[in-house]
Amino acid sequence: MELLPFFEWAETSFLGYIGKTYGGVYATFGQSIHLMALAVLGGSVLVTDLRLLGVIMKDVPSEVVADQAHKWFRIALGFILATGIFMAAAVAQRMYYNDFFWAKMSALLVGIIFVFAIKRPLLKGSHADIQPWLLKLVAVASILVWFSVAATGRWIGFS
Amino acid sequence: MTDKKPLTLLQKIAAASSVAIIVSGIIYWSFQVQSVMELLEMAYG
Repeated sequence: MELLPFFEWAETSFLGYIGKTYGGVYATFGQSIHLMALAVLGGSVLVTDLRLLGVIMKDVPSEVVADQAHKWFRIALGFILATGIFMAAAVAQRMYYNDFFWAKMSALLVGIIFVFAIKRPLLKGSHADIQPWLLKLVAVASILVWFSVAATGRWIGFS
Repeated sequence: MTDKKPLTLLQKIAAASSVAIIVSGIIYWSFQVQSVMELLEMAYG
């Protein structure tokens, strides 16, 4: 499926026009909110996964930590997707030709599917019914995939 | 409590996908680190 025409359209769309023309809007509504949402998302992922690994908040049941953190994960993800689309539209053609953009999108897709199709359904019930090694394996995979999203995202800025 | 119970289908899928993610991640970042090291060697000798 050829995506270049979509990226060319995105850059000339209203979103792309606003992002390119008004740097202040791009910086405040785009980058700042994107980074703050990334901090919340990264925090919710780390809190859950480090608890599953038995590193932090050992006095709090892991089910409670996972449930509470997931709420904030969903909110942060919504903001990240909205601001990410806005920012990408402004520089769409440049993103199309950037390998790290595609690496980030791949990691993001894997991360979203992993969380909503596997991790969340797994962690919804009692964690006592789950083998401890499986909880730790899922936690490590989750940390790795979201680290990859963040790192490739930052790498876009240097490529 | 969790000693001898067989894994459910979801748990098996979670284990397999986690291993796949970890292996892919290690391979990808190994290539990236190697590529940066080669670039630095070319640039600075």
